[in-house]
Amino acid sequence: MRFVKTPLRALLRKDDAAVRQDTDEDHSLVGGIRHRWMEIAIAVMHEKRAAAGLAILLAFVLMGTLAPFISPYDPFRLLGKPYLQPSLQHLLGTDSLGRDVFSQIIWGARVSLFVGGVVAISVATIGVTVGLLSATSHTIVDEILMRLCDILIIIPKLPLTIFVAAMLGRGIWNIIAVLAAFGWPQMARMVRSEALSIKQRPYVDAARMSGAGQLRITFQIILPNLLPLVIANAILAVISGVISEASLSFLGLGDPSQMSWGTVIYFSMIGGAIYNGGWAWVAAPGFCISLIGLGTTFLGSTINVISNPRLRRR
Amino acid sequence: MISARYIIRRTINAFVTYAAALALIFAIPRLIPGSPEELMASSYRLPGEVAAELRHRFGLDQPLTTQFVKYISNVILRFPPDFGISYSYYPAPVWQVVTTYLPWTLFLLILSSVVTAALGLLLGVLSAWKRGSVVETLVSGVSMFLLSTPYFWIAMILIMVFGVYLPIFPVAGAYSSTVIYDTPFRLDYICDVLAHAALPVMSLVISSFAAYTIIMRDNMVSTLGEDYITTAMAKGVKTRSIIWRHAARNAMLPVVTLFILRLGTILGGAIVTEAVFSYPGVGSLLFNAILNQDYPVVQGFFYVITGMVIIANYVADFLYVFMDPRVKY
Repeated sequence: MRFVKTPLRALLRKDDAAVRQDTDEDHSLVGGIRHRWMEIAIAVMHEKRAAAGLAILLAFVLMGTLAPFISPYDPFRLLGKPYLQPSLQHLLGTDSLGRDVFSQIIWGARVSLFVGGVVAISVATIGVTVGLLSATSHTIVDEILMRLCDILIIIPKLPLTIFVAAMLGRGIWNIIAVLAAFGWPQMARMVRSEALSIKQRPYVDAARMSGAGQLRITFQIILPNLLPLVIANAILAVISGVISEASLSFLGLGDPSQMSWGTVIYFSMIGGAIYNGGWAWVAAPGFCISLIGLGTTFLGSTINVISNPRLRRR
Repeated sequence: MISARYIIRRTINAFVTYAAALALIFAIPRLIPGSPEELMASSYRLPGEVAAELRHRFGLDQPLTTQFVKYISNVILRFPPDFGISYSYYPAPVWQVVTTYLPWTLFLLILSSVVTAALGLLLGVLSAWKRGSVVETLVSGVSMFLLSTPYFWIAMILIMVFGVYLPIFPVAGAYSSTVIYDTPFRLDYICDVLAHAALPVMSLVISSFAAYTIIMRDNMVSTLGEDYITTAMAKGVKTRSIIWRHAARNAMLPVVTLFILRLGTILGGAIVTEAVFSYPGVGSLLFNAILNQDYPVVQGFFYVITGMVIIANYVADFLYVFMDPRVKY
């Protein structure tokens, strides 16, 4: 990717030397890693795209957090005429029941990002656990876990999610559970292959030679080195959580008591927004989802490129 | 070239995945709280004895192991695989129901995959060649934005634009139900079907071409940096020929695997898209089957599409070796 520019290149050249120097100075691998963390964070923020991505995400997180204070109306309250065009009073018009769409979008940020965030954290946790277990355990355990991943990856995820979500019933926690349960295999596979490659590096040998046990090597050496990759992909997992939740809500399988962006699109579909001039009602929620996608892609892929040496050469 | 060990390993893997998928398909409806016969009995307000009788007829009173053996032998040893009778399309066998809906989904899937790949590749090559220009900024900006746009939202926007504001295309179904044709091989019928497919295909294309564009662009950029491209330029080969015959052909390789690996994702998208356009494919079938608790059809659906994806992945593993002589297994 071309957004690797001069400050980063200079940094990268320095990188290996800097890490070596750190280990020479204080013999603490963790210290060296912490140092590298700062460097990664600084390098990421030097990239315009990553900064823009972070800004977009922070803006939406802020919007969701402050929803009770900044939303002009209650998203569920019937206010007046249905299908009002956007105006100063109703920035995005009203829906088929006369509720304020702009307030729904603000509250939608809260619900959608909450689902996306919790799903991403769960996916990362399960993925890292399974991936590390697989990379550090016997061949049989490894084989079983990886076949399980294969199966879950091969069965098309959305139909499976739809089916299980429909059977479990409409609740926000059910949706989160289903999305987390089927979302982790890709993360586990990636963590496993990265952990296997880290295991081959000289500093792991060095740690083993100096008497570090398996647990110490796994959690104090391999895991911290994996984290940038995990964080980058957890950020990318947020958007897939948001989209999956929206898909379920759109099909009428969402939590009826929560107004997510998917629910707004669902109501605009069954409320006949298309045929009643409710273009803002249809357009706004999807546009917000795409913006979240843009933010996560910018931020996540930049962290990936900077922290993953194999992607750096481009 | 391919070693025998690689072939054996891949084949075993594919079979293990198939076996595990079979087990999962068996398990899914049984893991879910509530049972079909109770649901049937309660929805028709039938007495408890009827539920017990239904339970007996479906074979659900037998131990799980017996049920499993019966399921496996019905699915593997028979052709067509026997998933029983659909509840909601009684008394049609599941296989017949699924294969009635499948062609429409395959039609959508193939048409949209081909258009998606072609458009994605074209834009990827273009933005790699015009690096640093307005074209590149525009293409990569739009791609990044569309990369994570929900299928169904694009579908609704398209319905709004082409169904309401500029009514060009039909917005629902797969063909006009008002006209009945004696044979499907008539020009006006084909045009009708294509017109109905236009919006679903467009929404699938718009929401999935970006992945190809981005990968193709990155590959093109690194391929264009290689020595043989410089050599070709020095020899005075025409620009067009360098782009398409020298660079694009090599940069395309990983995209071909992506094409097959994304099959499952596009299938998922097709399901939601079908729901928006009430297109009579397996997506609509699955959705109705879920709403009606028609477990046999749900199982048949997962069997067919998982089988398709397993075969596609298996083929992809070998295809790559044939296309790129540098790859050795």
